[in-house]
Amino acid sequence: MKRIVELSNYQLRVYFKSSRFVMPFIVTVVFLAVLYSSRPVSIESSFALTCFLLFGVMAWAGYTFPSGEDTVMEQILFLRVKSGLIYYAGKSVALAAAAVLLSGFGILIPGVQWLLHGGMFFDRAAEVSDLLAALLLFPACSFAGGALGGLLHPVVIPERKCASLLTTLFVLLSVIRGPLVREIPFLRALFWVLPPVEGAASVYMGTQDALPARLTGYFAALFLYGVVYCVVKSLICFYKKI
Amino acid sequence: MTEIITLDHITKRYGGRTVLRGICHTICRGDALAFVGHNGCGKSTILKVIAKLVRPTAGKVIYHSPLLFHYIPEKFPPVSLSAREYLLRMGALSGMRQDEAVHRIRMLSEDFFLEELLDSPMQSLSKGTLQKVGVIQAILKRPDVLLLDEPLSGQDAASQSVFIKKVNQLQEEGVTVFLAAHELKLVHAVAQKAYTIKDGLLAVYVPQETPFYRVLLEGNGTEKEPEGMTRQGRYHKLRLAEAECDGLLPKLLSQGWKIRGMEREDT
Ligand SMILES: Nc1ncnc2c1ncn2[C@@H]1O[C@H](COP(=O)(O)OP(=O)(O)OP(=O)(O)O)[C@@H](O)[C@H]1O
Ligand SMILES: [Mg+2]
Repeated sequence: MKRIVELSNYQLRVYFKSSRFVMPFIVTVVFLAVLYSSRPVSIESSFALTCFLLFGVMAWAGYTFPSGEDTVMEQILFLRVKSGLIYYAGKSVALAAAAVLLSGFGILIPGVQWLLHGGMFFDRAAEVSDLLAALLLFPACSFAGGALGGLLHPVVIPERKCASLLTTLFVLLSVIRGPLVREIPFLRALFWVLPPVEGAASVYMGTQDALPARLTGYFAALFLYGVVYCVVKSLICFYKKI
Repeated sequence: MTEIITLDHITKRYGGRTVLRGICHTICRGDALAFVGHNGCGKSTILKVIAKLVRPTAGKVIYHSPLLFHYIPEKFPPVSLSAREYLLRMGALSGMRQDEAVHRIRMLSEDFFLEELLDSPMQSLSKGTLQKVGVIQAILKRPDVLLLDEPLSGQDAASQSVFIKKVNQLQEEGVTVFLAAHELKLVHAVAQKAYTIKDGLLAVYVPQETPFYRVLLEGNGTEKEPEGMTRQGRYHKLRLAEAECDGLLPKLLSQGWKIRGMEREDT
């Protein structure tokens, strides 16, 4: 366990010292700043937009993450930790940590505005359940996005142009999957491979019944999708490269 | 001698090209093997197969006990950290305590004349300096097996002899060493047994029976070049068998040639 943490720590250090993280983070901050620049803000719709934003930006970050990897350095790390399991777990934990960090902005920026305006910022009074929803679903959407973006690793699809198109397509389809499935029901049979961000983003709209249960449900589902993507990617990398 | 690694009919193909062809070999703890041979003959490939970094097309690599490998690659890549931070992180990954790692890094960077450069970003280090960081990360903590793939590329002479001393010391402590190299000086200084890879097979490397020497000579421009002499920069090069040297060289000296260098040819 200690090695997994050490390895993810190393990965994050290298990532944040490189320039790869700058653009995704700037885009997130700018987008959120604009979103929360004028009062009053609808909690429901800004929540949904933030979910989509974090999902998309992390997919981008997850996609570009491996471009800074050097095969030889990865081999040195792989030998050092002595086990494929620790190595790939370390990478996935690093991704999850980056996702949590990024989603922090999704709470921080509206939170600051809310404090500055003495609690009169949204179109209705903010409740504890709003914070709970953000704390659960923002990191979950980020992580699922990051894992989706990381799925098409250069080892999985060496052709990068194709990989970037596919990633964009996957992200878009995940975002519009709800309406699409309603129009063309048989797509449901294909779309289960994509994470339920669309559902998570609209968990707030409409009925408030059983909100906590639905929140945890979406959290668990998104987290699970992320984990499965990471496992699939790791297995493919493990068997293709080594 | 405890056997630690067995190569069982290892074959490696890249595309249509067979690099390794059914190699069988057993390696014992504390062995020091070197692989020599032409560029592209498969030296790096066999090291990676041994470490299971590359999956053989056929055959198996068997470890008789769990092994910790440390690896010095031919070209150590920079990451976006300072050398010190990188080494500290590697120490932590190897399970070293922080103070232990700090101490080791200080000792080793002194040995390799690297103290002043430790805090520069790795991307700004020169090739030889970077390679030294590669060496230090590999011997920060004692591994079971040390893989050296042309470990000295670009390093200065003083660091080379420090490196050779360290590797010999580790080997006495029971570390198994695999070396891929072109410089025979390094091969002789590190390895007990040397192999060449020819047509995908391992063959025991035998140094030439009657060695040749390369002699560098300087003339004053008026001497006639004897047969077989070629120009090399500002000097002239002559390749002589051992037996020829003692007869021919005094003759050349008496004609006004000056000896500027002499080297035993070992391939
Ligand atoms: N990943 C790869 N894909 C395709 N071919 C490869 C790959 N790695 C090595 N080869 C081929 O395998 C052969 C052996 O390569 P290897 O790197 O082991 O040679 P080497 O003996 O280490 O050479 P050098 O002295 O230049 O370091 C070469 O012909 C090389 O082109
Ligand atoms: Mg090589």
